[in-house]
Amino acid sequence: MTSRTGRTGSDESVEDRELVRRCLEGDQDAYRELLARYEHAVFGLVRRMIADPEEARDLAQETFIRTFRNLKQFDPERKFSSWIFRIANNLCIDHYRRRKLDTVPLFRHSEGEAEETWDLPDTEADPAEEFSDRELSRRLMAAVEALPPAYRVVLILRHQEDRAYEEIADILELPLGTVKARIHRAHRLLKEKLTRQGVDWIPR
Amino acid sequence: MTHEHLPERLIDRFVDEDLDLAERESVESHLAACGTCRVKAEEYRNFFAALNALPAPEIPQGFAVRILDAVLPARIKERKIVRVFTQAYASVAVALSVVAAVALGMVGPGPSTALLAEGWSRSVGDSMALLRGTIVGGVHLVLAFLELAPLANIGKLFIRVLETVTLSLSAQHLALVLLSVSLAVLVLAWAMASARERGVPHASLCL
Repeated sequence: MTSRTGRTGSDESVEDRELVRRCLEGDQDAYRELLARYEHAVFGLVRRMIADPEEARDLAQETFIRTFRNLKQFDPERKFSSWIFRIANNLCIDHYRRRKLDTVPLFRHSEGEAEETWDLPDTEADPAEEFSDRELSRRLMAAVEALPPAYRVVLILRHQEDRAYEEIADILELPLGTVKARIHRAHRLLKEKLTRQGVDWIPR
Repeated sequence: MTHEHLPERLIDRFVDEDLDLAERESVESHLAACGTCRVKAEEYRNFFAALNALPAPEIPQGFAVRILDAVLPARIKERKIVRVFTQAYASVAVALSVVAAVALGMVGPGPSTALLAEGWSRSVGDSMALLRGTIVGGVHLVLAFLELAPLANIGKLFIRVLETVTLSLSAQHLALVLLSVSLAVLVLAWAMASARERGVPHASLCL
């Protein structure tokens, strides 16, 4: 059971469905409102997944264009947020495939997947260093961005977009257990990496 | 006395609120009695707080413009109009520039271009006269055709004005006017394209 539902409450879904209905009736303000509701979330996800800022912008824009052009295919029984995040994630996967990145198979591993043996390189380790919040944030972000895409996407959806495990599983079309396993493994690796760099998680 | 500590994954799930009621109560009970696991749970809380506080990427300027242009019917139509106007602007500018350059080349140096054109031959004046003759001949040819057209009067008026301007202005002035107009058109076309790239609404620029 997941008690945290984040910003994925039923009010949000009802408002989204109403906006989609208005869009389909040709209401241009509804398009603008839907865009305003999701532009930060979608761009935030894509930007963290794609290193190049211009490619990230193009992919995030393409996400909205495809979403809006296919609104008729939206199933009102499902969450609009899940749908648009899935489109964004699929575009990112296509991008990786075009670039022939060898991390792509990570996206499609299922329940019994073996844990990858990747590790995050340590940089600038200095155990004696006191970390400011800003420095901690910088190092944490660098570590998140160094994660393989399959781990990065679940972390971002969980911690940046505040999505429930169930919705993340729906977005990524993965079993719930796989999503949880990836999130917890990513937590452990990130935490250990920062600890090795000298971060004290309980300030004295 | 020793006891088993909670697995790290269970602490992670507890802090991430991923346990059912029975599991949560069991973990809480353990934490109440185990300082080591309490510290570990506190570490995870602070780690999650740092993760949750990571700054969101800033949306680039004009992000929404391309999206709305692509999906809103009115914007698609507007964009086509702007594109046609921009292409027309560029075509007019190029044509004017060519005509102005030819005119300047034909007429040779005038008072305002004397320094630049000092070495030009006087014989280009004859060429300019030939050009003028060609223009006037062309005007009369067009007029002859316009006699047959339904909008002959409007066409004739326009052509007459063009002819008068062509004959009354000095070649240098005519060339300078053409160059000024073409420069202004190019600047306007550049400003529109540049504004669109930055996501600035273009209606104020094209109307």
